[in-house]
Amino acid sequence: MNKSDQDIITEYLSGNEIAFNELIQRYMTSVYTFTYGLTHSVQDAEDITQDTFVKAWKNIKKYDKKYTFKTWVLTIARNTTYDFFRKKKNIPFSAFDNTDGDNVLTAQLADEQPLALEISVLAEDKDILDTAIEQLPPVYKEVISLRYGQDLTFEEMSVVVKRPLNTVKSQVRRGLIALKEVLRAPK
Amino acid sequence: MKHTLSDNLSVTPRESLYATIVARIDMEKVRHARRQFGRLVSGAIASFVLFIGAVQYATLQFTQSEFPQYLSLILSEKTDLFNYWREFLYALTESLPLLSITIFLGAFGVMLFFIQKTLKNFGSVLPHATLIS
Repeated sequence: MNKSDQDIITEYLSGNEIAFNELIQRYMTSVYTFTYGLTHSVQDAEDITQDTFVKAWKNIKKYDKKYTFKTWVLTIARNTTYDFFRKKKNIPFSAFDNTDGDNVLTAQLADEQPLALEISVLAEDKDILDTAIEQLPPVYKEVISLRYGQDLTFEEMSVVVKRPLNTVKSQVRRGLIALKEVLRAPK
Repeated sequence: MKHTLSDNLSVTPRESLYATIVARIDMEKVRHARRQFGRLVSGAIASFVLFIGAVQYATLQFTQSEFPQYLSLILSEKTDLFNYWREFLYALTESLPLLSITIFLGAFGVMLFFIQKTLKNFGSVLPHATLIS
C-alpha cells in the first residue's frame, strides 16, 4: 500500500535519509511539467526542478501540514522560476504579478470545463496546442498549467500563485478564452 | 488524435533527471555536513581555550585559598584530625574555591561535548556518508 506524503515526511524526519527520494519520484514530473510550461526550455526546466527539490529538502522541517505536499512543492517551483526569470531578465516580473484585480462577479463564472473541451476540439494536434499556449501571457500560461497540467483545485492554485481565489478563477477562464482566440486566429 | 488540455500540458522529463536531483541533494548534504563540522571544530577549539583558562583560574584560586594548608594537616596532624574530624571537614569544605571548581567542571563538560560531536560528525564530511545528527 502506498504511503501518504505525510508518512514519508515523518519517516524522513525520524532519520530515514532515503525516504525523501520517494517524494522526488512522486512529484518530479509535476514540477518539471509546470516549470517547462513556463520556460519552454528543457535545460531551464531541469535546472529549476533540481533547485526546487533542493530547496524543498532544505526546508522540509518548515513544511506546513495544512497544505498538500504537491501544493507546497509547486509553490517553491513557482518562486524558483520567478527568481530564474529575474536573473535572466527576459520576462518582466510585472507580467506574473498582474492580478487583474478582485472581481466579485467572477465568482459566479460558469464552470470552465466546456471551454476546455472546446479548445481540445479546436486544436488539431498536440503541437498546435503547444504553440498556442506558448503565445499566451505568462500569467495565463501559469494558471492553465496548474489547473490542467497539475490538476490542482482553485484553492490550491490560489495558495501556489499567492493570488485571491476569485482572481485565479478569473484568470483561468480568461486564459482559456485567450487560448481559444489564438487557435481560431487565421494561420 | 484529439488531445485534452491535460494531455498537452503533461511533459515527460529525461530519465536522468531523478538521478541528477538525488546526486545534487547528496552534494548539499556533504556541504552542510562540512559547514557543521567546521562549526563544531571551531567550538571544540574555543571550548579547549576556555578549559585552559578555567584550569589556570582554578589553580590560582586553589593556591590562594586555605584549602592546601588544611589538606596538608592530613599528613602532619593525623592524631588531632582523628579527634576533630568534623571540624576539619567543615574547614576543608569552607575553604574550597567553589566558583572556580564550578567553572572548571562547566568548561570541561562543554569541551567534552564539542569533542564528542566533532568526532561523531567526522565521517559525514566525506562524500556519500550520511549526516549524523
